[in-house]
Amino acid sequence: MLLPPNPIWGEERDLLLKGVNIVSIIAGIDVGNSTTEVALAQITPNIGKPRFIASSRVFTTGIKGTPSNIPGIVYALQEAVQSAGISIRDIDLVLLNEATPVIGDIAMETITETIITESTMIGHNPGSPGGLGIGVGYTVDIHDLLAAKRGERVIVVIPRSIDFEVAASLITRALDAGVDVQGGIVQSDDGVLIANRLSKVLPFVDEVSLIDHVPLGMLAAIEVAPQGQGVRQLSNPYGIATVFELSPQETALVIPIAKALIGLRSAVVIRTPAGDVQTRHIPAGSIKFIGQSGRNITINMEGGADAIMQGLTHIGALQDVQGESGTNVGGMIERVRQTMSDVTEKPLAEIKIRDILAVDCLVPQRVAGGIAQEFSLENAVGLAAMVNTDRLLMERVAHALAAEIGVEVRLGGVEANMAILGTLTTPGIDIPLAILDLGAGSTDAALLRRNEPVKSMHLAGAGNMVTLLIHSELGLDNLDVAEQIKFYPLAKVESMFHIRNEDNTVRFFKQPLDPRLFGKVALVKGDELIPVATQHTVDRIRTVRREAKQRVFVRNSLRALTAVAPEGNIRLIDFVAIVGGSGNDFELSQLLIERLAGYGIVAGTANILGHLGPLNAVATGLVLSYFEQQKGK
Amino acid sequence: MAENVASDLPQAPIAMNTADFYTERPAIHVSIAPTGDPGGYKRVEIGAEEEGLPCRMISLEGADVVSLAYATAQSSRFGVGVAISATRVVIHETHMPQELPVLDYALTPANLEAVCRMAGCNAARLVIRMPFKFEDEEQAKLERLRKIERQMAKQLKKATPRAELPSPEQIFPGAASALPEETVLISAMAKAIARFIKERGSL
Repeated sequence: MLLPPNPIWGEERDLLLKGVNIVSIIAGIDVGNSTTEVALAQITPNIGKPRFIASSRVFTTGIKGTPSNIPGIVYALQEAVQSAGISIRDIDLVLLNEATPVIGDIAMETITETIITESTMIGHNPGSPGGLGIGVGYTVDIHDLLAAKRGERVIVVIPRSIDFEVAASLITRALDAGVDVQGGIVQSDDGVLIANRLSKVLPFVDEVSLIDHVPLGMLAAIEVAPQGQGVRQLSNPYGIATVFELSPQETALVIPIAKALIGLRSAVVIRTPAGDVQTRHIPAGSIKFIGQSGRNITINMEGGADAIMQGLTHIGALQDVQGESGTNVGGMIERVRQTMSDVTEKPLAEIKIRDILAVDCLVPQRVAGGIAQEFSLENAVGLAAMVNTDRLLMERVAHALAAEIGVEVRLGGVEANMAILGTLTTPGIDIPLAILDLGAGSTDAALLRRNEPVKSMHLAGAGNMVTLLIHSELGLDNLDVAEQIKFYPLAKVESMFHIRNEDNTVRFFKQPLDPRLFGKVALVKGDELIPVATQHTVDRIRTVRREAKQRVFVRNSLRALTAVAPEGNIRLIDFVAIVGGSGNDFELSQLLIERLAGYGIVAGTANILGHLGPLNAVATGLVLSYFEQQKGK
Repeated sequence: MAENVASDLPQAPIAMNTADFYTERPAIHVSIAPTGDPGGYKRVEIGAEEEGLPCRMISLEGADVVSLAYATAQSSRFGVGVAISATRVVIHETHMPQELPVLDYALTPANLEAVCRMAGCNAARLVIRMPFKFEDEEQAKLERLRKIERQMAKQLKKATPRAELPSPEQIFPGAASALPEETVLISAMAKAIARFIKERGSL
């Protein structure tokens, strides 16, 4: 008799020798919002349990539940069969997670916006502005400085083409001639050099790249704060009013300018004739919850995220959500609906939103009309929304997959049940058990008690929402950076040889670090350091990151557990296991364990099959469920 | 060759002994190799001055520009030294392996001033622990700024669909050449008129 060559075949070999050779290879596949996971197992009917021989995890291609997932699935299968030493054709059956009931989407919209309709301010934090104090005068190009009238108060504008020594000597001559130079706006990084070469201490704001946008002949005020402090006069509306002798009506108009200059070390405000600054209040609108009980509630967005979430608690299970048309929130909800309609190919009217998570945040927005990339912190609301899909969607994927790989593909059981089955392979876990599945698109909870069906809840808002919050609150250029900030702890590179971690511990390196890392905030990815392209301090990034996780994951976990808890009382849950991609997060499970301990719940991260950690729960569960069914026959 | 030109300090001795090392004011040290242009020192000093740090020129010898920079760094109480040869500017730090400088720039007569200033700036940043400046990063920053500027211009157009307010020049020809005090007055009047017109909706 020919024996299988693969060493993984152990007990089966004995069986084969006995003449039993009904061995089949089953693959469980879980397509998630972010990753596609595969569990590969051997099933021999006479053996007590399936033998898991490989697992894999790759990024999901396309939006979950669409045929564009196929390349990702095939890739994941290849990875798994390769590590098991077989080929895809050896697989007898593929089990796909059933019509995942939910697809999540996220949106972020500011409620307020600052617009300055003409260039009227420069506020920024160059490394080294020159001099100190506040100066007020008319802007004049340095070429025309000596022609300025005696006794006139001027602010000199110095383009890059003028060397600092020339600039300093021109200003000295002008001062000697009686021109009252009050300070300067410099294009290159020469502020300190010019200020050091004058007999008088004057403020110089430098590194103003777009200096050609500074209007000449206009009244301007300039302020440089001492090291370690922020500007005081120009970040105060009444301070600006004092400088420019504004009326109370006009003072109201400069509030956005003052707001945008808070916390900066140097600032310039220029008064232009038609200069018109306004905070435009975008009509925030209202959001209407339609409950399954038939009750409706309309919530005004101005109440913020808390009011929205409270309304949601009141209404209970949702039938649909509508946003007021013509407002930002209306636009957001419609966009979610449109995306979902495109994905599911269902008409817009049939897309029903089943859950919403709203989160307040302050978002730095570029001020329209500023010169040097000014930011103003604006109120915003982040929304995650979720719609129900149907079995048809996943069936479409299953058909396409079967055609692609030439292996039979079946839809497995309900995702929550599968996740529980998979989680039960964790050493030390038993029923009754609740699981928290923290994914990228949704936060799910399921509860299994003896002799009772599994109770499950799917909520909008998970890993992707955290990424979005980090991205918006830190004003980052792209989402990848936010994604990395979410995943890795921070450190500051303090010398060529050592870094200081975010918990203040120090790590030394044998080899000197890359000069490009020096002085920067970096992410610690094992032995690798990735510089973060941002001005923010370690503390600020850390606070934003942890807050985002608290506001999305911790909040949603409590909501989901309350929903599945016996009698809606979260304290009646005893054990919670955390599964899903975000369960691998370096700090999230600690945040959750800490919080849940307050309710007397024992919580921990699952370890599927004793070695996979919180990953692969659903894929493993699919295989186990199939095996149980076979045994029952 | 190179004279000791530390301006506000007593002349630095050619061969420094330990006592000097501990009594002198800390500074970034700069050496010029026999082939180097002494004019580079001034630029290094300017670069460091912008960041708020003093420099001092000292005379040391080294087999090549890197070991010269290393020796220079060893003599500085900041532990930071810069060496300039005909073709290179090297920044060294006292804890680094001797053969591995922190930064190493290629030098030509054309870029001497800019590169030496950049070296001075980065030597200072090494002391104050600020991220170094790199030419390519500065360029990228500027490009990003230009891009944002274009976006903003577009956004502004969208945000103000109403007709532009008339400039003072349009209302009172010759306003631009008026005295500044008058400009303010005129602009205030122009604003008031524009507001009035806007409210009446005849614009």
